[in-house]
Amino acid sequence: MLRRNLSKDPSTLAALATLVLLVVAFLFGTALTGFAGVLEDVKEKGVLVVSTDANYAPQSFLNEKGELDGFDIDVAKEVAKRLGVAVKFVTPDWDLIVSGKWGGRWDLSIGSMTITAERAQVVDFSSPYYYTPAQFAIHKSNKGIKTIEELAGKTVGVGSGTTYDSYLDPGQTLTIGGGEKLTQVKGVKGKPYSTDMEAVQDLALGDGVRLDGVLTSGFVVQEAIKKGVPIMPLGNPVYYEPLAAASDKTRPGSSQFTQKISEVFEGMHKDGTLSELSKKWYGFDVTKKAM
Amino acid sequence: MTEKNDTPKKVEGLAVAETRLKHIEDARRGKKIFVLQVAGVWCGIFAVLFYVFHRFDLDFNFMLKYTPFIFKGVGTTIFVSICSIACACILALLGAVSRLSKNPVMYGVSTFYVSIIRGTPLIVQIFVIYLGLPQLGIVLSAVPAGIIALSVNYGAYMTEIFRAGIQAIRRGQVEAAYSLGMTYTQMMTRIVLPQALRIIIPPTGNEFIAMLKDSALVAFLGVWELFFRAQKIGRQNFRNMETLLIAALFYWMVTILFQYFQGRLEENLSKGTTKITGMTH
Repeated sequence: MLRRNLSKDPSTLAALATLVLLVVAFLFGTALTGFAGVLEDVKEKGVLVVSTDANYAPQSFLNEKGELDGFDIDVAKEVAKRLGVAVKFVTPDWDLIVSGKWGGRWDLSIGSMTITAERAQVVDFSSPYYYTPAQFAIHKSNKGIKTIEELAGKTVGVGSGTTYDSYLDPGQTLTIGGGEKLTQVKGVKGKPYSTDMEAVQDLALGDGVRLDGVLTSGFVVQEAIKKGVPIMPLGNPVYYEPLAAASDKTRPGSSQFTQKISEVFEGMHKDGTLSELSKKWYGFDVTKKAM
Repeated sequence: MTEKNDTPKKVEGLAVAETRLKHIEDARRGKKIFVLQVAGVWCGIFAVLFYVFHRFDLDFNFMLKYTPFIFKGVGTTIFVSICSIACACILALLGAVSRLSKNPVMYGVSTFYVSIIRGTPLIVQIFVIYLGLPQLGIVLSAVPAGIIALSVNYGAYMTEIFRAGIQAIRRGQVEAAYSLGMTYTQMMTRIVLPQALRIIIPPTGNEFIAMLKDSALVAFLGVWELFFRAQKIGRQNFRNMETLLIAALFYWMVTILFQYFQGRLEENLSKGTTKITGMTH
């Protein structure tokens, strides 16, 4: 009788299935975040898991063999080498990287992230490993716009969640590095895209077709021109961004970890490794502070 | 006497048979012409498409170069979709059984689940599961997180399919099962579900085909499936259109393949019923 009642009750079935699902979930899942520091975790695992945003050549992209390659990738490999561990890359969406709370899925972002006071609320930054200029660009066929001020009232494309996005959005503030808040160009309408690259391609459709300009890294503008995209830089860089590694603030030992990464970067700056990698990928040294 | 009466009948019968035969032949010819017309229309559409894409100024060498790399994502796409549909079936079965239960807790949970999942976008669910679960101490990497999100989402839609399939089985079957002394589980697994399966499988196949394409959303979590590969290669080279077209073509081909399997499966499942209707003719 008891047996019959049990099997008659569909909740037994439900409980069983839930159990199966949970077991599957845990089998799939990576280990829970440790209570020791990040550095200790990394050393114990013997692997440094690095997130990278593989959308931008030459900093992080997929090469002809379909493998991750670029300046960021080489820097990450070198960092792991100096920590005495192996390196593994993951490629989540940029928005997921800059929003913090990584849940221990990866340990470190080496993805050309600009140090800003706003981001520092969710991630800890290392010292910068290189600097990138923020550059406006317009369509090659545009003859009217000669200065950045003349972009007032025009629509400029930016990557969503980038510093360029914050720079053009009057509702947001942008505080680069430890410095002062940047004053934004007045009246420029920012139009966010999922990445800078979509903005560049939209500008390439023609002058004013969808966009009048883009604001992105000078390296992206350079790379686009090299690949035959019909755009040209406008004016001088509006600001220089110090780019650094970052780690999830909610993870125990995060600040000590980024401190350690800063020490590694310092060594790489001193012995010329970073300059060398910079010359390999950019053709010139972008690792010296240029403000 | 009988001969006189029989002959006109025979002639009449022959004439009827002849006209019937003619009808069948006409119908066959009509069908052939129709097939040819459809083929013509498709050729026309392809010609127009080819012209349009030609105007797009596509870099065909670039497309050829990266097709193998993008193709490698097909396996991941199919893997994610198959895992998700399997889990979704379990959820849908649970959801449907609970939805039909008289237990207020189970009924309440099931209706709430269906309502909230059908009422929110899949992309939101994917991000909530990916970002939310770690806060509860469950850290899933991208692939399982994506599979769970897709399963939970499709499970809700399929709960309704499963419920309808189970409800379509006549009450008398359930009563007969109980009067034979079967338990609830026996009644379900031996009588109701095998019959319901025939009703459930065709729409489930349809859901799977939809899932093949919705699985592109897990690219945002960094899963290297079809869409992710196409997008990354496209962005870096400022040639999104080319790579996305390649991905679209692969999605289409995979869909055609699975549609074929679905057709075969349906044919198999409907064998019982088609034979009966064949006999009544």
